Amino acid sequence: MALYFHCTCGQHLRSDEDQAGGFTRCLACSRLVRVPSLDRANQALGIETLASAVPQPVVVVPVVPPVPVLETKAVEVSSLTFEPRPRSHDDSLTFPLRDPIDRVDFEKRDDLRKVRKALQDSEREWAERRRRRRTWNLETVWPECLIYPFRAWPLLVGLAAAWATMTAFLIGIWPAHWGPAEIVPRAPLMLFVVLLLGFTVASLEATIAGGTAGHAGYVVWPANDLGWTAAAGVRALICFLAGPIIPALVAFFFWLQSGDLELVDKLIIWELCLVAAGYWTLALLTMRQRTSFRHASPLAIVEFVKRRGFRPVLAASLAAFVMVSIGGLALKAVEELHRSGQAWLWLVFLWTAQLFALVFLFRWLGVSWFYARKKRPDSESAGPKDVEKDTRGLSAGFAS
Amino acid sequence: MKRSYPALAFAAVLLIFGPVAWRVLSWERSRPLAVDSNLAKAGEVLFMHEWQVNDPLCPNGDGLGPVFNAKSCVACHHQGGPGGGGGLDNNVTTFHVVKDDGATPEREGIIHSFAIDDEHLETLKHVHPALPAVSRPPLSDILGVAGRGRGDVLVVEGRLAALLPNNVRLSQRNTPALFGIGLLDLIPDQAIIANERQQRLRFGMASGGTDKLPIGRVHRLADGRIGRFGWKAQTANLADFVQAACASELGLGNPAQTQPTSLAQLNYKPRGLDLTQMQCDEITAFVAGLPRPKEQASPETAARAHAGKAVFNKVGCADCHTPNLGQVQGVYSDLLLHRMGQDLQGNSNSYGAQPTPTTPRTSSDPTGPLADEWRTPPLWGVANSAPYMHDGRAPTLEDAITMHGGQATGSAERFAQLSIAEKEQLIVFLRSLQAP
Repeated sequence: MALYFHCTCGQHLRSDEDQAGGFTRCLACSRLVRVPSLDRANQALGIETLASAVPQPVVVVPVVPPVPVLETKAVEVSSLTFEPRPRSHDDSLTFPLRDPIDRVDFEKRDDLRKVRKALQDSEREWAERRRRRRTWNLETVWPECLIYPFRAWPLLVGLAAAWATMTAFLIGIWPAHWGPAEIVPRAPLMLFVVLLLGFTVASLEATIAGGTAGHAGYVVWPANDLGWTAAAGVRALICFLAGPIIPALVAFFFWLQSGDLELVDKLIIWELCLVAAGYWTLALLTMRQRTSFRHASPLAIVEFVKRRGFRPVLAASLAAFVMVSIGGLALKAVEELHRSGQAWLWLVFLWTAQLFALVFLFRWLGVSWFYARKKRPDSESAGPKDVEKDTRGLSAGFAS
Repeated sequence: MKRSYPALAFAAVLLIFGPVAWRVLSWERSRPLAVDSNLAKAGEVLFMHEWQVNDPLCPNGDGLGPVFNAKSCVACHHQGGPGGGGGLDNNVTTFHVVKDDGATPEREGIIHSFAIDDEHLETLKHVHPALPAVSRPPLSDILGVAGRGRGDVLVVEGRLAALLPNNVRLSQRNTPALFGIGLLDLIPDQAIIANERQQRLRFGMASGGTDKLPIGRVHRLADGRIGRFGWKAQTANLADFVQAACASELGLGNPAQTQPTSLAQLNYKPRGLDLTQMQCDEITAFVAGLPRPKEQASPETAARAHAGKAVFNKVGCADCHTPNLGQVQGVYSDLLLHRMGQDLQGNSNSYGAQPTPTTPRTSSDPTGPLADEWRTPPLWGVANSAPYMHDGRAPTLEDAITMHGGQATGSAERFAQLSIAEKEQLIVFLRSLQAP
């Protein structure tokens, strides 16, 4: 019997029953994920077992996934192997690593059979649904990646509307004077900005993760994972403060002090903004699967670029171009927003265009990484040189 | 085999570093104020000189007139010493005839107070037949009495208001003080534009020219230069400003601006220019060298003046009356145009570099100032430059603050809500801004 669950990145996973309660690694984002216990699965089906008689922490365990899943295997973390360990039933604060199936009473075995049968039926049913829903395959050439953002349009248009509304809201509460009396009452509102930024970044991360894992047939997004969203928001801020803030500030003060802008001034500001946006994108890509902020350092980014080849640089450059170009137009829209509410629609359009372009680029990057990884015999043990070689080899294969 | 692309690399380096190098080399740096003392001395003589018809100092021209507002510069610029402001008696009346029915051409200009003879004397009748033959209407005739402030101030329409046709607008300009004006000439354009951008940022990138938020806008003249002198920021530099004043106020034609033609004698042709370029430079040098006003309070009022400065910032006066601009400290102006509301309308910027008083400016200069747009006047020396506002309608500083409308409505309202002590502190601070 298989167990279905999902990673915090939104990826749906499947494990064998004997891995229940153990750990596995998400194939999309490489995080360690706990495989739910069999008891939790039983509980989800309304079948009471001995283990479920004691209070359990609340976890969301979809018994049957609505989307295709990846099959996982048990992994070893450091020197510890997450094999079943004994636990007492009265230890209600500890999530059970594995349910004591062997302790189930003899008379409950019939129920257990029913559970297994129900799960098998359910699995068949959802496999059929997945087959029906899988109307598109993994992209093989880069222009096909252009279709991905159109498939994700509800998410992107929703995000664009949220950003446009947030912009209008910020204009409404914008303080005329930046003193403590004005900033302190507004500071909590900035949490929403960070969350929206985090959700946007998390969506882009999910796009890359989906592409890297070779997912097709559905759009990966952070859904209601507040933890991921908040972490992505903080990551985005850290990545900006770690370096891009410098060219951004130089560009800002140059714009402020340079009088009427001539062509040469526009070029300087354009270049500085491109550097800031490109650096920020690269830092985000470098930190994507990391937990330490030191991965936003310039050295880590250089190492990342060395390891991954030209693709991240190309994607970051194009993303920066998009962000700066549309950002310039968005400033005009903000100016217009002071005169007319109709500029909100203009902002939504600009944000949508920007998100479409970014999602396309990130999808392309993720899928290209998937093909690069697929060519490698052992992705975990491949060193930087191997990765580089594989990436070069795939470049022709994917792009042509 | 590795291939190198030296031309491509060179082009990339040029594209990246070329603009930066170009801008570093061409950056406009602030200059020290250098006034030629000999020029300034000669200019002082001309500034004090009482001009006459066929003046010996104007061998090529007709001297004073044919129409003029005063016979010398110092006749108007006298408060607190030569170069200061002037009183209501020195006000200049301007008109603007709006094109309404197609029959009347749009025109605007100055009704000069005096002329060399009765034939040239301009009166309101020359502007519109319905108006009386008056050359120097008092401000109260145009404006009414008791001022047009907000709130429950009783407003009695001026005598001319009832006679004024719908398409004719009259306004007056008070003589501004010239102290420290040479320093204003040295402020780089970038500093003025930076102020505009800071104000826009302060209000969420709203554009200038709104009638609610205190966001000023730069006045870009038709030739692309930034206006900074005059009530409507209609002149870009001091030399132009001085020459425009010589022509418009004294009738002294010069290389930059011809003398005005009388509305009563449109066919009059001057025989030549009254002032040479050298004479203009001398007057400009004298004006540029006028000392800057000082911020000084007596020992008894120093503490209140200091507190008043904090109130000045708190009320929001400093949003537009920026204390420092560029390298000039204590100027209390952003030199930007701000909309001041319906009550402070005045016809547009005819007092400028235009050669004749009948040129329609509003249609040919669509980016020019609106009727209620005024350049923020520098507050340095404000203690010695009463009356206040563009036409001198405010006899006291408190009246002037109260009369602020449009973009400054918020500040005026915050001022009204201050305690009596705070108001007094603010006024004491303003009185510490004295002429040299």
